[in-house]
Amino acid sequence: MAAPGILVVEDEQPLARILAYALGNDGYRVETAGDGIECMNRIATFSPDVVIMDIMMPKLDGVETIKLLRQNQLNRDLVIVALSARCSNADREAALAAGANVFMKKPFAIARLLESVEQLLASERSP
Amino acid sequence: VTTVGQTLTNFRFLVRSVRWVELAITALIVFFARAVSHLDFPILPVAIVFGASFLWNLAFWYAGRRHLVEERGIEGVRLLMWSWVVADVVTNLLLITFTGGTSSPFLFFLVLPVILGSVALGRPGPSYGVAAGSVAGLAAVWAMDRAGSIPRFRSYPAGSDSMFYQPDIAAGIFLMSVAVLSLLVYTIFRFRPNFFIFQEAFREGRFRIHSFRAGDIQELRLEEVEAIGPEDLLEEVVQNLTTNPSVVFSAAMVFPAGDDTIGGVPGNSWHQGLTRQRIVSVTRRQVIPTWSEFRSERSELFRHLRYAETGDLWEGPFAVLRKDGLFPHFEDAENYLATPVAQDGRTVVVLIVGVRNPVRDRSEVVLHLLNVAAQLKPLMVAETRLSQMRGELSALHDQNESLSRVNRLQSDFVSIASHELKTPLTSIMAYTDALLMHADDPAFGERKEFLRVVRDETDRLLRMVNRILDFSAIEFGQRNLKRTRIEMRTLVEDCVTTMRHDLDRRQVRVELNLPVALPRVEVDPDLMKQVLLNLLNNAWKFSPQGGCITVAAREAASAIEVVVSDQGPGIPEDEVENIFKQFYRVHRDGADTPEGSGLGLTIVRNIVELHGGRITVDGGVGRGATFTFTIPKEQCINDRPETVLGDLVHRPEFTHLMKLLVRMVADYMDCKIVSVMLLSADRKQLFVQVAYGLEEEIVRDARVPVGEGIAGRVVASGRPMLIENVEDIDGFSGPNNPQYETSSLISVPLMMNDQVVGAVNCNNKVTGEPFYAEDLSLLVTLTEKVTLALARALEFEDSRDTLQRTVRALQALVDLHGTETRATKRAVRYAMELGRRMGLTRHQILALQYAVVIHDVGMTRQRRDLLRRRGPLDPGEVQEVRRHPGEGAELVEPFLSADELEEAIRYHHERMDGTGYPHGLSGEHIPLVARIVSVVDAYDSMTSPRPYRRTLRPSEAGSELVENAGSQFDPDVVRAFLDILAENGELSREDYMHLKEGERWLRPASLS
Repeated sequence: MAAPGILVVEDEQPLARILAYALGNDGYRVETAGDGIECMNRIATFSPDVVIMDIMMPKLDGVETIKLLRQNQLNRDLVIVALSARCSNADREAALAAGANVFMKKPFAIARLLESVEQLLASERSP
Repeated sequence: VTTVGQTLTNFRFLVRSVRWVELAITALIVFFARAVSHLDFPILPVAIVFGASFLWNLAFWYAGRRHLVEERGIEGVRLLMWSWVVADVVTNLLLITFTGGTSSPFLFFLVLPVILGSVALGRPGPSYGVAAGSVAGLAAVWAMDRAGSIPRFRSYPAGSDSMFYQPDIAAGIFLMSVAVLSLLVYTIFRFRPNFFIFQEAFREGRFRIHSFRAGDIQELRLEEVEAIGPEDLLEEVVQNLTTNPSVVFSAAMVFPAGDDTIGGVPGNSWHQGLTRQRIVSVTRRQVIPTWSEFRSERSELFRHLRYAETGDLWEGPFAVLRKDGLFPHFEDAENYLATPVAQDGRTVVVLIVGVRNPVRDRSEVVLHLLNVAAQLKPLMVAETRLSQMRGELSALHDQNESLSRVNRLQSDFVSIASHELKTPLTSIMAYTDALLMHADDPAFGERKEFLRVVRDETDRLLRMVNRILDFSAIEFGQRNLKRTRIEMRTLVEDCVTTMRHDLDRRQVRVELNLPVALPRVEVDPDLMKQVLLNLLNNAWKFSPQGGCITVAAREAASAIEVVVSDQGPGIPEDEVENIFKQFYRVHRDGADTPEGSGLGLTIVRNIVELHGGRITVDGGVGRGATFTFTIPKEQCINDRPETVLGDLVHRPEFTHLMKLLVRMVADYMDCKIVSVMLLSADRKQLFVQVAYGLEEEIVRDARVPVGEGIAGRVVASGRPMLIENVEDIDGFSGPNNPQYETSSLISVPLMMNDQVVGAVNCNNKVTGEPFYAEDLSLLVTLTEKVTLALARALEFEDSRDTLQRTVRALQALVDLHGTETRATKRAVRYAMELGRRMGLTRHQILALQYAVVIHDVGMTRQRRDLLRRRGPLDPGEVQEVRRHPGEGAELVEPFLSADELEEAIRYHHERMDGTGYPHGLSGEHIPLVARIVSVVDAYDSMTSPRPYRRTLRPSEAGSELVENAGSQFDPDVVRAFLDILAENGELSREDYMHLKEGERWLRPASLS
């Protein structure tokens, strides 16, 4: 079975780059998208197992993108990790309500993120 | 303000009752007579006649009352009366037609009530009109009937000429007539007291049409009353009243909400002349009726209150003429006088006074009223105090506003700080994590790249932190300006150098267009560089690869204008309003949003405004963005020898006011140089205290001995001077300094408390023309107003409020000049000419001249987007715009020495037909100055370029005026104005004749 695919949706180029690097280092197939719209375009061809989604993005923001993703039955089992610099309870609730599996505050330790992704993928497969 | 008949509407139930009783009884008689006397007139037409007459009355009463009486005043009353006459005559005519002519008995019944009614109404003209009109109409009908020119049904039994010859019918008719009479008499006497005052009002010509809505009082909340806090005031008044020997007691009642008692509650009412025991023993209910009783139609007091409800005390007091058990415990009092005190059109307090002396006739009551009203004068003071308190309340409200603004700011701040600070932090953290993971791996190839990213992101973080610090320093006023005089070019070039690297990277060129002769600006160089850097950076961000940024500057009358424009995508029109807001970023689809704090432009605006300038931006997608900001040219020297004004000069508010003064003068006079000179303490020489647009050396070194030079002569004589050409004056060879471009100048003495303290000088009109007489008188007026306000503000040393209002007013005047609504010089000239022709006094003309210039000053307090809006406004916004005349009048209150000025500002949007705002005055009730301002302003703005519509030619604007003469404008003013336009060559002879042909509008519309 192929390595799990991860789509990193992040408008900050440096951050997208380092996430792609770190995840790739861990053996995942990684692609990046600069905003929500690009994410929607990429998802069809790439069909990842995990989407790492920044919330504050231009054009289509993270919450809206997650909602769009979840509308599609095919993406029901998709693991979505939301990342945001705004981290009030309301922001967190909004992201989770839209359909994110995990909400992570920025800044975060890369190791934490990798750990979360791994756990989520494991729990996704076990049941 | 409306002095037209308040009383009448309060008699509507009376008049209505009389008319309806009359109509009903006539109908009864007609049909009763038919039943008992075998008359054979057709029922249906007669019934229709009665029905129509009833509907006519109803329609005129309900539909017509509002339009006729309330809007047209006494004209409306007459119309209403005549409508009744017409209704009577038509009804009678038709009845006679259908019931058998004048030989039928009914005519008698139709005339009877009319005569009775007019007798009951007494002497007043209109009721005679009704009676006389009706009788005359009936006489005409009779004559026509006799002559056989009215078709009629033959309805009485054959064989007799008239029904009067049949005894049983005659007896029945007699009984019926007694019944009618007694009903009418009852109706009239039932409302007798109202009749009484009605007559009084009619006779004195004192109509006050005023509909008192019970709901208004009901809505009043007790808390509101307490907020106004009339306790001490009322106590004072009540005590004053008791010094009048004829006053038995007095009580002030405060109206609370709901149906509770309205008085007798300690703290809510005050009594004098009553023993303590009495007050205690008398229950609330007994002293004063409950609220519901009080406002019920049956309550005498309330009914009287209804026509007395007004803030105008001399019109307000009323008498209760009979002891009617309203205040059973005050046996000594024969009569009660009461006056309501209204605030914002709602009654807040009712003052009741018991009068000992029996009152036998009306003149005695009036005398008492006057007596008591004189005692009530302190309440006038109360009114002012109330309005003061209102002011304080609104200040509190403002404070609240600004607090909530701070709250918003904080939440924005949190949001922006989250994103803009955490984003680079996140990258830094992620990259260092990655670096750490490979810290021991010598083969790790990306080390250098990662470290560079960390470095870049740290830079970014630092920039953001700096910006936030700058922003808070400026926003919270922690930074004082360190002004130096510096060349604009130096500043711009410095900034371009700073940005060189970025500019080159994207091959963006910067083109400078700075005139060599540009005066140096007095600014804080660090802050001004921030402005330029922010604007340049902004322009750079949005510039296309290889684009060009233009920085241009030019000298305007009172300021240097700097323009920074780019060739980027431009700013959408609807974003223009928001662009200077904190944390606002223009959203563009399909384009990368460059990095930004959302603070840059806010910082820019704050800095520019800190320098006393203004910044604007031109929007439009595809046209690039153009930012224009101004730097005022004012200079103020503080290290001066002592002046006649002593320490005053060193007070910061003095400097502030003086700076505003020179700026205002420069703006309004359209000249490049303005200086305020003050007398030295020994009164021997003058030096420049504050200047606008003058070289620093002159400002610093100029000394003019009193009696020499222009300013010296002006100060010595105390009279203003207008010099058309300085070379014509003996002893002057020409402009004494190369900076003076024209040889025309104006100098006006600066008077404070009737003493010359200095002079205001103006040079260099922007147009290069010499100054004219109207310039001089405008300067005199402006100076007078400012020094008056200044003197007033300085008189009360502690009164920061007065001072703040003065500063606000001046600032508003300066702002006004920056808007499109300002008046042209030409308008001022025409207005003065108009004033002369309309017979105004010199004083009034001066006020008028000033009013034309500043009548829209209230606009500066409106939301900017409303002024720019091209599309329709929603009702709330319309309300807001409609407040501007009132706000303007309040704003410039510190300057108001003349009532005309206030009136002109307050009422310039009133219309002759009464549909204008804010008060809906009509015709002659609008002050003449306001009518003149309205015409001149309309013409001026129609013929001036405005972005939202095309500029009209004088003839077109003239015909607009003619078109609306009578409805919007005063026809007399329009006529005189057209004459002036024609004489000034603005209207051609043909156009003028053509406009004059429309004689229709020459008829004053106020008479109908």
